[in-house]
Parts: sequence; C-alpha cells; structure tokens
Amino acid sequence: MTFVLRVEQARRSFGATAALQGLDLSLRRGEWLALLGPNGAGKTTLVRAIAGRVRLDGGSIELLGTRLDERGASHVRQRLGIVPQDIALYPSLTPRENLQAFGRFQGVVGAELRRRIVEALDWSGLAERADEPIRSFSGGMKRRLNIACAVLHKPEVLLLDEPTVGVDPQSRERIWEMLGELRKDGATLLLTTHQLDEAQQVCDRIVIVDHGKVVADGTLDELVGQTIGHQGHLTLQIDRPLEPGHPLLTRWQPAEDGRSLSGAVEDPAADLPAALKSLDDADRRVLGLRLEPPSLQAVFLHLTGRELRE
Amino acid sequence: MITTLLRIGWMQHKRDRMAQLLSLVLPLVFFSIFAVIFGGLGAPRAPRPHVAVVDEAHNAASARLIAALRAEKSLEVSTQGADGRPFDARSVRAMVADGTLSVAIVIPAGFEAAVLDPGRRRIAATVLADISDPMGPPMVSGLLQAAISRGLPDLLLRRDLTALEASAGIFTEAERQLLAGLSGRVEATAGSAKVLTGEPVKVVVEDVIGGRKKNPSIAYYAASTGVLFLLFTMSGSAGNLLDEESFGVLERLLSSKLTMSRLLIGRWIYNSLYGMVQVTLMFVWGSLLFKLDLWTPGHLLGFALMTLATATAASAFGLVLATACRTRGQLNGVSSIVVLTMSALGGSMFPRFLMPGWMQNVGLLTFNAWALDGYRKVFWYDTPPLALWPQLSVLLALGLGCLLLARRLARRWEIS
Repeated sequence: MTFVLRVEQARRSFGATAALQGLDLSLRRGEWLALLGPNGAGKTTLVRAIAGRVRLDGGSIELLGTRLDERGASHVRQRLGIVPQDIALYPSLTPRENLQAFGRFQGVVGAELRRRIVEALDWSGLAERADEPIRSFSGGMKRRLNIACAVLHKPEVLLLDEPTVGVDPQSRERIWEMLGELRKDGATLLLTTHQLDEAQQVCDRIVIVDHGKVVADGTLDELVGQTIGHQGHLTLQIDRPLEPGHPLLTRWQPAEDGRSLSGAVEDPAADLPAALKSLDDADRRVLGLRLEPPSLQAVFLHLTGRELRE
Repeated sequence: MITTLLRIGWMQHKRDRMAQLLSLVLPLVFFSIFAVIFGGLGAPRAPRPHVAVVDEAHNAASARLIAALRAEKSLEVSTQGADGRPFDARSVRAMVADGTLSVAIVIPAGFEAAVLDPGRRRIAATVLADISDPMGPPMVSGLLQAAISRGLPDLLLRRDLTALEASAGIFTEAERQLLAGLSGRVEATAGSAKVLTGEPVKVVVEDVIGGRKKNPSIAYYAASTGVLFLLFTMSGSAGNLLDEESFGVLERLLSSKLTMSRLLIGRWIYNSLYGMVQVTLMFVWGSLLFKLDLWTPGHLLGFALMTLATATAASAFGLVLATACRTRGQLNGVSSIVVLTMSALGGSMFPRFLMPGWMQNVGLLTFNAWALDGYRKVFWYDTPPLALWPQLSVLLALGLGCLLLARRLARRWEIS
C-alpha cells in the first residue's frame, strides 16, 4: 500500500499545553481523509506541522517518501497544496493577479503559469470576473479562489482546512464539485472540518483526534461499529406521560415532562410495532415518531463528549 | 443611557493603551521639546550661537571688544581653532561657507579708527553669516553693537565729542580738561556701561552663501518635509506585513517556496524605491514651483546619493517598526509617536541649530538629522558628493542595522 503521508508519534507542546501527544496518522495515495476533532484537539497544529510551519518536539512526518525533518526536505513540500481556513488572498488584487502571485511563489512561471491561470479561472467559475479586485466578491467566490490558488502548482497532496466555512449552500456545493474534479485526477486530500455531514459524504476515511491523539480511525461504518453500534435512535412523542413501572420506560428514556421517549433501536421492523401496540394498550396516543440511523455526529459526541471546548 | 455611554467610552479608552499614549503622552513630549528649545526649563533662554572672532586690528581697542564679546552670556566666542592658531578672515569665511559655523566676526585693522569715525562711514566690523540660520546672524550683529557700547564707551564718547567740536566749534582749554576727566570716568565704566540705543558703529553683515542662491531656504523645507513623510510612508508600507499576517496570507507565503529573508528583502527594496519616488517628487515639485536648484550636475548627484541612502534606511526602519508591532493599530500608534518625536528632534520641524547642544546631540540618533544635514550640504553648501560620506555612511549603517534587526524580529513569524 502506498502512503503519501505518514505521521508517527507526533508530539508538540506550547508551554504547558500539549497540542500533540503521540499522534499517528497515515494517508494513502488517492485517498480522501477527514480529520475531525473539537476545538483545541490538535488538528491545526498537525496541519501546520505537515506544512512545515510548526516543528515537532518528537516523532516524525514523512511526506511522499521523504522525512520532513531531513536536511533539504523542503523541496518535497512543493508537491503539497494548502488551502487555509482564512481567505488568504490579497483583497486589492484581481483573481488573475492573485493566481499569478501565488503561482509564482509556488514556482510556476511563464507560459505554463498563464495556461494554468486560465484553467483555474474556468475551474473556479471566476473567468468572467477575472480582472475585478476581489474586495467586493462574495464569501463563496473568495473561497473558490482560495482553493484555486492552492492547487495552481498541481500538488499531489492537498490539505484543506475548513474549505466551506461561512459560505452559502450553493457555493458549498460548487466547491465540492471543484474538489470532485480534483478527485478524478487522483488527488490525495486531507480535510479538517467541523461540517460532519460533509466529512461523512465526501471522505473515504475519518480520523477523530482529541487531546493531541487519534481516538478513532476508519470508515463511518467502522467507527459506528466501534463506538455506538449500528442501532438506530428512536424518538416517540406521546400525548400523556406513562405510568411509572410501564415496561417501555425500562428500555427508553423519558423526557423531563414525560411526553417523549427516546433510545436505541436494534431492529426497528420488529421493535416499533410492539412499542406502538404497548402504547395503544396503555391508552396513549402517538403524536410523532422519528427514527435516525447511526450518525457521525453521534459517534463524534460519543468519543469527545458534550463538554464545550473553548 | 447617557451614563451607560459615558461608562462604555471610559472602559474602551482605559483598555486602549495606544490611544492613551497618543492622546495624553505624545502632546506632552512635543510640548517639552518646544519648551526646551524656545523657552528653556522654566527660564526664558535663547539659543547660544558659536561665533568665531578674527582680530585683524591687534590693538587694545580690539582686545577690549573681544573681552566684551566673551562677557556676553548669549554667545560662545572663540578666537582660535582647535589647532590653537588664531582664526583669520579666510579660514572663518571657509568655515561659514561649508557649514562648520553659521556666523563669524572680523574686526578689521582699522577698527579703532572706524569706531572713532564721527561720520560712521568706516566699517568697524564685518559679520560673515550663513543666512540659512535665520536667528544666529541678526542676533550676533545686535550683540556685537551692544558689546561695542558696553566695552568701548570712552571711544564712542570721544568720537561724539569730536563730532560736537566739529559742529559747535573748537573747545576751550577748560572744556577740554573737563571732557578729558569725563572720558576717564567713562572708560572706567567699560563693561558695565549702559547700552546705547541705535547702532553706535557701522557693522556690515555679509551673506557668505545665500547671495548666489535662487531661493535659499527652500531646499531645507523640501528635505525636512520629505523625510518626515518618508518615515510615515515607510512605516505604513511595511505594515503590509501585518495585514498579510491578519489575512492569513503570510502563513500561506511562508508555506510556499518563499523564505522570510526573501520576503523582507523584497519588501525593503520595493519600499525603498517607492520612498525614492516620493522624495524625488517633492524636490522636482520644489524646483518647478519654488526655484529649488535641483538641475545642476553636482546637486543632482548629491541628491541621488542622499535620496538612495535616506530611502533605504527609512525603509529598513519601517520594517523594524512593523516587525516589532503585533497589529496594524499598534503600528499606527507607535509609528506616530516615534516618527513625530524623531522628526522634532532631528530637525524636520525646526532647524537643529536652534536647539541646545545636548538636544542637537540627541538629534544625531535620528534619521532626520543625518538626512537633513546631507541635503543641506548638497543644496546650501554645494558640497561635492564625496564629502557627503559621513551622512551617507551613517544612513547606510543605520539602514543595514535596521534590516538585521527586522530580520531578527521577524523570526516570530517563522517556524514555531
């Protein structure tokens, strides 16, 4: 199996705060990996370490077969593209001028640069406004240009840090279409995001980090199996609270006002009719019913807890 | 509601240290600088010009005048150079011409005869002046007349009696004896005599340099204004680094092939070129509208060298301010304080020769002082470009030092 990125036992502290505490991670060629974690979990430190902006206290990072702490390893970073969370563009420049600047900083010059700029403008849907300063652009347009500037040098590995934060659903869809085109070309992608639905939909594998370590790694199915199990989650709303001692109260948790019950359902086809009959027998009317499949959100909260991280 | 607004205003102001510095401390700094220069610390005090005195008369009268000049507290008088040799007219003229001195007094061989000349047609003294100093020469001329009144009252009385005798007829022997006694008593008051009103003798002020200039003081104003705004522009332009940091562009740039050293060098070169354009525009404007004498080969070359050195140094200084500050707001506040203070001390707001000696020395720590001295040499004293080496060397050294310091400070943006 070809790994394009391997992080082994990465450790880094900032004063008394340990940002990375022996984190391991690997990324295969062509794979799309979502890196999830609450605020302060160590995601940004890891991405900055891969980008060469943070030095590790211990452990190693190997990118495309080269250890990044080796002398002369900086050339391998030219095969890496980084899409920062900030709109890291010059606001007074046009899309074309921003692309020219960041292309040159990545070593693309001359006719090749001009050709790639035309492609990038087309790809990002900004060709018609290529020569207007981006100051007045919408958040979605800036985000698309932000990504275009990072891929102009055709990187083999792309790090995306919250690429769709703060944009409307249409722009988000367009961004994922753009990234989908990169996928067809075989790009490898590491995505950090808080948009769990996006991670669930677009990525092959999910890694959840917390307190500087990987706490779960696998496909959504694997993570569900490892944590909350494959059972669905049922919520039932009823007209009146059940009498104490009713058998359903031993299976499902009542809400504070007793007018709803919720809990895990192993086999909905068998469990639901029995539950509805039991409620009917108790002369309770069912006002609503919601059955949810196992979600990444539930896995995430199961692993990282509900405590606020600020 | 009003009290809530007052409370919010106070809380915001209390937490903005930079606003406090700008609104409360900076005005006090400026007031103090002006007070020291023009008012002294509590007691009125005028600048004390240094005057070289050439004695070509070498007699008792000239010696008494020099003694009277030395007794004048507002003057710093010397009659010989650092080598111990007495000044002569040629050497002091050269010193005024090259800016070493702003004023010198030549007491001619016929000094006593000129003082005694009833028609006051003979020249009793010549003041050699550099009129780019607007205060020194007039002040020295006045003090010279006062010194003659105080130091030589008997000679002035004798002259006036001679004039009286010429108009009123020959004195009798008794009158002559009475006047001789009176003259002796007057001579005894030398040094403490009351100053006569008007000008007792003929003193000529000779403008050593300005006579050949089209618009003598305009180069000073072009340079002083130019350097003041150059420093503001450079710190503002260098602040783009802080903007890049806040946009996240800096992180992106440093993740590319670009290194911090290259980034700083690039900014330094661009800002230097922009600064050169800014100063050049100021001087060209001065030449077109205010007869600034820019277009002679010597002036052009000197101007080019000074502008290159000044702009590169100011550009590097701007980078130091930007790399030392954390935010654009902080940079704006700090640069206002630093640039305005440097400009006040360095001569961009009023000439340094008006300042007390210690303040002139403090001014030498600023870019403005060295830059303005250099431009003054070029446009006022017609100094050849090679003789600008002290100013050029200091500015280039300051620029290099600032560049190295900025590189050191920029390490905080590199790998953490």
